[in-house]
Amino acid sequence: MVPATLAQPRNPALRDPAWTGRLFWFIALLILLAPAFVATEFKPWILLEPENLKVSSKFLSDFFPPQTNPEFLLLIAKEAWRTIAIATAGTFLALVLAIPMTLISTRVLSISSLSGRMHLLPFAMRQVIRWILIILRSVPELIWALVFVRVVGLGPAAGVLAIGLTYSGMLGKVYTEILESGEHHVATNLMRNGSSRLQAFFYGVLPQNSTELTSYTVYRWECAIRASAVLGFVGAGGLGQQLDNSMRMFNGGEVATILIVFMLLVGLADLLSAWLRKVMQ
Amino acid sequence: MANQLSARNDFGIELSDVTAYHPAATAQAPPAIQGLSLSIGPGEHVAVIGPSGSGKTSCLLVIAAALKVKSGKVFLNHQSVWELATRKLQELRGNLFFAPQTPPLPPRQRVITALLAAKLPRQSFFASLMSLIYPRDSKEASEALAQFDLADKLWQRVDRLSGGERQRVGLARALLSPATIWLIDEPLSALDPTRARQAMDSLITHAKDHGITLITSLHQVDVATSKFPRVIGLRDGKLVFDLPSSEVSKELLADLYRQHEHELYQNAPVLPDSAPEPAPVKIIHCR
Repeated sequence: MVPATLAQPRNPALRDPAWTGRLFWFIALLILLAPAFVATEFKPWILLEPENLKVSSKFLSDFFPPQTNPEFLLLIAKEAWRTIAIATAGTFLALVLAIPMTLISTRVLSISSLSGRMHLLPFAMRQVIRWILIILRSVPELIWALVFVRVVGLGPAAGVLAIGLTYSGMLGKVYTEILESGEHHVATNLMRNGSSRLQAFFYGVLPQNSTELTSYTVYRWECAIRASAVLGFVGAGGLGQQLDNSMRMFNGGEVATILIVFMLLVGLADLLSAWLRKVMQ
Repeated sequence: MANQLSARNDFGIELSDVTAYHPAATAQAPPAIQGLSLSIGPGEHVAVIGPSGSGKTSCLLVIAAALKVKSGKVFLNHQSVWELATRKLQELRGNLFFAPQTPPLPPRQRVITALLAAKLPRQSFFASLMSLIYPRDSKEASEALAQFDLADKLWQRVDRLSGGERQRVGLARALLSPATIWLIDEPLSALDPTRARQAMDSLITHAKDHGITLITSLHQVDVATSKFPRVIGLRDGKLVFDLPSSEVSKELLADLYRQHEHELYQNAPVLPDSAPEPAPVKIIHCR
């Protein structure tokens, strides 16, 4: 029996012509999703088997109490500061790389497409930048870090470079999408009246999209803080390296303290983002 | 005085047999402008009238070198616009000021910045950046605003303004632009009759004093015939008449607006003080 809401009205004029297509894609999506769970051997119930519960509760109970030894806390505070520094410097490097690429690749700022189709050369240039962005972000920051640790040696510099490269690919892509999905009519009008692309960017595009861009950038900075944890495992410094040390020594208390510091940092990023949005509103 | 100044503007407009389609039109849609030929001399003041959908906006966009023509030719200053290289065309566009019906004002921008944006075409990039850091020419901007009775809004943010105020800010931008041709689309749609008269007078006076060619599309037929020496009537994208306003008779108007009589006989603005602002697009990016 078809539920009442799924039944089409008898009067053909009142039938939603898009309904069949929508139903088809919904079912198709479900069918496509199934293999993903099979391929990943997704069986969450094994977590609840008594044997596994014992292992995980043993692992988790080691976390208590968190290590609060003042000497250790001081060390962690220093490393937390270094983590923030890695994330900030990395995000800044990413920004420096991403902004020019965004300006080149966004269609909003194309003068040739103001009237009809974009010219061939600018179109080709946009495609090249798109591919550079894809390459930059498709190599995980961990791989970049492994490369740079070999080049510049162990330490935070490798982390900064790794984050800068990967994140410039992400920022460039998302910035372009934010600009293209926003309102264009101000920038279009400025260029139609003879302004240059960069002038249209600063007077038309930026004021329309600044909150979106800022909040995404702060979110990426938050991601960079987390990413630096992973990078620490390959010797790129910061809290991550301490986390790696404590894990190797099975020191649950220290791990717990470091994780708490991570939570605080992410919470801080969240507050910063909320505050910035409010100020810019 | 006015004549001496108008000598500076030698920018003639010539459309010959122009046909153009709306950019978002479907394949079967009729052209927005069909076989239109026009010639407008430097410093002329022209009103374009016609019922809704008659191609008034498209006509302005064609002259503004914003809507590419399908056939026919557009000459600005004796140059065929669509045969110019992109850079040349962009330079030429600095001489045109197109004011859309929805004023192009970013909601979070301040009025001063939105006004100074009109000066960009003749400003170096460095100068325009400096002007963002600390607004130059605030005196000029304030004087332009005063013409529209908005002097106190100079430092306000655009989203604090009403729809009518935004429209007037949009018109005040014209006064700051370096252009010698103004193309103003429905300047009065969000203004009450008093404000509308004041705004129209400010534009006309400034245009006269500086020898600027003023072309506006209008819904208010009485304003068109009383304030403009020349009136162009469009219907279904075709030229119906192009006459001195003294020769525009009641019969001609009735013919132009047949089946749209309500638009002809309503004297009040079409959208009395309603804000023609675009709905803010909210997109949430989670990546």
